[in-house]
Amino acid sequence: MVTFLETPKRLKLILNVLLLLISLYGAAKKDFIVDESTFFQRLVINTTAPMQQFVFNLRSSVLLFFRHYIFIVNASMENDQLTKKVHDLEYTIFQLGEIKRENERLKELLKFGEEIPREKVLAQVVGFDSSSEFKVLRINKGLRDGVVLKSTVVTGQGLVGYVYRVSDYFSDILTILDQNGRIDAIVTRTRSHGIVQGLSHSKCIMKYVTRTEPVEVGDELITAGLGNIYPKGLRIGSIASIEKESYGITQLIEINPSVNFRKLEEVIVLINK
Amino acid sequence: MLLLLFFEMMATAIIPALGIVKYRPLFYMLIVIFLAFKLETPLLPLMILSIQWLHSAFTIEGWAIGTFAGILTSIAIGSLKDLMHFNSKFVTMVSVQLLLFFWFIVESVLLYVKVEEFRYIVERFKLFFPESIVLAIISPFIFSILDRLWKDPEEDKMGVDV
Repeated sequence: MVTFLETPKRLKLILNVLLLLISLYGAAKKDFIVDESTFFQRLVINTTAPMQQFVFNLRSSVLLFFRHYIFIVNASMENDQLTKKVHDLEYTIFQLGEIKRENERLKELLKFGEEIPREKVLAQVVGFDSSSEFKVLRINKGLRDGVVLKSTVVTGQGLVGYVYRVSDYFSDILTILDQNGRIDAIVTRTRSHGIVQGLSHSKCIMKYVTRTEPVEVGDELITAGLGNIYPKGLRIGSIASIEKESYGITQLIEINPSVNFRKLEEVIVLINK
Repeated sequence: MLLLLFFEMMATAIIPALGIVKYRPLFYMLIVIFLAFKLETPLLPLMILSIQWLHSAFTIEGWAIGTFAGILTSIAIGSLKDLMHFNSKFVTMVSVQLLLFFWFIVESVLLYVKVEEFRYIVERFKLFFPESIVLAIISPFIFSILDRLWKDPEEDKMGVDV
């Protein structure tokens, strides 16, 4: 009893209980929607993120060196193949241009959807979240570049996520692979609504799609435009598998994101004014 | 703290730059476990909070869940300290592995209460398991580094050697 009442032990006990309660309160209050970073966090991010950027730039330089100077054995053959590929792509671009013009005419006609009148900022991925369970990227654009919280982040392939935390020169992106993200989505073929949520490093799940909706593997998904984060019509991915349990009124759908997150190097931030 | 910053840089930039994007060892857990074994100070909970606060600049997890799990782990270590003797690398690895599991369970319970999605906890475990094995394997090496950095003239007052 005397040992228990010794001052250091009592202080430790009080601090333990106090900080357990505070951290429990903090955990309960944490919402994973946006994070208003503190001065301290901004200071640490602005100090360490340039080093993260340096590491990624160094990696790119080393890879370029190997590609340009070491692995050039089959360069001539590859050049011929690429030339052919360029011709094919030029033809594809021509076709796509035609489709785009046709699409614009039809959109105008049907008043379907809307353009994305947002300023675009090109950013480079410079780091990842410290915990592998959170699928968060750090990019090299922040408040000084006009990036604001909840801005949508995309690539040419589709939707990446949104700006979760922003400091002066860097921002953290909560990707669609993170289980804390929620996207109101539409299956393009059937116009079925559902909520897309992250699941793992390569998969998302779509929830709340009723069993009667005739969705199929391979169907494409786009953002529905509901909520205040994502504009309508951004490509999310395609259905990888559908699971209908013998009970329940919904079906469980796994999604393959259209963006290849493993090879993501550059993204576009659509500034949410 | 500088070592923690270095470890965070390793996890967020160097390891992904090497092509390992899926797994990121949580080095800060090792630092908390080391401090819990090494120090008898009543300010240990505040030190855990500081570590988690710095860690929160590199993750969206925030400081709260890790602080809660870290303090509970330190309490567990405090209770079991007399039973655990790191007299071989293997024993150190096994002990660290068990403590990392304890940490994972505490965090998972908190996260499950918040997200109510068991699949997420399973996915989380799939990542955590290999990461924790790597952490347990390198723990004797990391502890020896920390032990050298933490050398104190009054070391006798600081508790057991790790």
